[in-house]
Amino acid sequence: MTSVTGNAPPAAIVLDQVGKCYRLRKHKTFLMHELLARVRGIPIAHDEFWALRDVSFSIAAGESLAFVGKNGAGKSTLLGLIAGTVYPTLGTVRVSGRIGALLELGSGFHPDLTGRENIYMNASLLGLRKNEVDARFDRIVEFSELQEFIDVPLRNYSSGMAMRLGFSVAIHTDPDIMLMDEVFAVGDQEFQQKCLARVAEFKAQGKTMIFVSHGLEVLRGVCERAIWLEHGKVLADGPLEDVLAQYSSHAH
Amino acid sequence: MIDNIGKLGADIWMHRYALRNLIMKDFRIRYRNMSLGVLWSVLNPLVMLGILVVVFTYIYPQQGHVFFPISVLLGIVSYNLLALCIPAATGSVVDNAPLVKKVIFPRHILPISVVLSQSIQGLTQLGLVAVFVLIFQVPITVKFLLIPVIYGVLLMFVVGVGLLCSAFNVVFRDMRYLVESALTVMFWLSPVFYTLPIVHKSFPRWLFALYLLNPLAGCIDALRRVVLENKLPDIPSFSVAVVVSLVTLITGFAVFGRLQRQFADLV
Repeated sequence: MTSVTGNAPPAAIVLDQVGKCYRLRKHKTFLMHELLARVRGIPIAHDEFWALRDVSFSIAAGESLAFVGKNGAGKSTLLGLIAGTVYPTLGTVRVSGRIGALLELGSGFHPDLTGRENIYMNASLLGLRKNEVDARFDRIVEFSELQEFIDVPLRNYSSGMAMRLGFSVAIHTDPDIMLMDEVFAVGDQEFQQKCLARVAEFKAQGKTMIFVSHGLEVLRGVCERAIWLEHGKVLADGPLEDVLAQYSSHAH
Repeated sequence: MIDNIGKLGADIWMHRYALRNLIMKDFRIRYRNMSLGVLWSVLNPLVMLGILVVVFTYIYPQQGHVFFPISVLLGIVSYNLLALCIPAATGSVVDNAPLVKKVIFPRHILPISVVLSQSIQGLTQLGLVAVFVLIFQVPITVKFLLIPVIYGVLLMFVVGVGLLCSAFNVVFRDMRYLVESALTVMFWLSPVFYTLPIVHKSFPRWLFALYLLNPLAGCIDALRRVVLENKLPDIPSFSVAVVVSLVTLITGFAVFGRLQRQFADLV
């Protein structure tokens, strides 16, 4: 170790020349003729789609950052890569710290289980032990404001209620890194304010946060840096206001 | 390699509570919508047993069985472990697409949880064997302690196959149908209503060696010897079963680990 690294905060996330290629097939899976072609050694033609190309950046621990860009620019793929659900085709992704992803709220919920059972299921998948969930259970329920419905099967929840529960579970798992994909579309104005207050708290605690949002106003309050993606490439990376200015002037 | 195994092991261990919850979820959902509940898991082998006993005592009498009904039941229960677990495990990754796409956890626990929850049902069927043992007054010996060991060998095999099938099912969706056919073949290729010694007598040596590659053969025979004949498992055939099961388990983990990188893209 040299003394040079002493001052800068440790990098929480480092992406080095990352590329992600999706093979577009008419059918998602292996077809019989494809199998036969492979057996005979005939190369199989695919339409390739590079969702990300040559993306490199690093994010320091404690930084709050936003990915901006149009639909299909590669923002969600990038979050998936950082979360570890998606693997890169090229390059490397290094992440240090526990990730609490809000890639899609309540994605682990099962309609036949009650709110209570789903809280335990979801929190344990995010890596919590039983006593840890027990200790957080009341806070999770209180934050979600779903006390009356907690023993009702999820199938009877409205989509807003399910998302509130998902958000509440995810923020109570005590992650070092938070990934949030359009999560501020959750619930009513009042609940959104509550979520933002919680985000500010996380920021004060020095957690690393990455947002994907189309609500640019929301980002102004919480992020200091932004990365602008277009067709899978980084077009700009810098202070939030500068990048947003470039992005909106480009859009018009 | 060793490093990776250690990391995976630690990751799965960290998610042991998730594994338990997945098993309980599977159980709850399966029985919440059924009026007879757990009874079904005992009813199915009883029906099978009834048919096989009628056919093979009256229509087509068999030799070589001691306590014929229990002997057949041991075969059915062992085969059922496979028949219950493998189809359920095969769909486990694809059926949990939202989880696989959006939540970070070791994917291995999906097929493993399904196999474990189904094998609990398999255990209730083993309870049925106990009832028959008492009814037929089979002498209970110390060797009964080997039953969990033999069951464990079967379970290793089933977990391995479950991992393989669930991973292949993501890239090759026809896997379900392949599994169905394979299970029917397995039924006839396992000593369920006949015994291993009879196979040994009737098959040429090389064919018998090939036959033993099915771990059900060695395990069912071992169970019969332990429960009904107060003998230790036949070392050659049981060791083949142990080795094949272990190799299947390791292969299952390796293949699953490789293919799981594409899961989020393909499910």
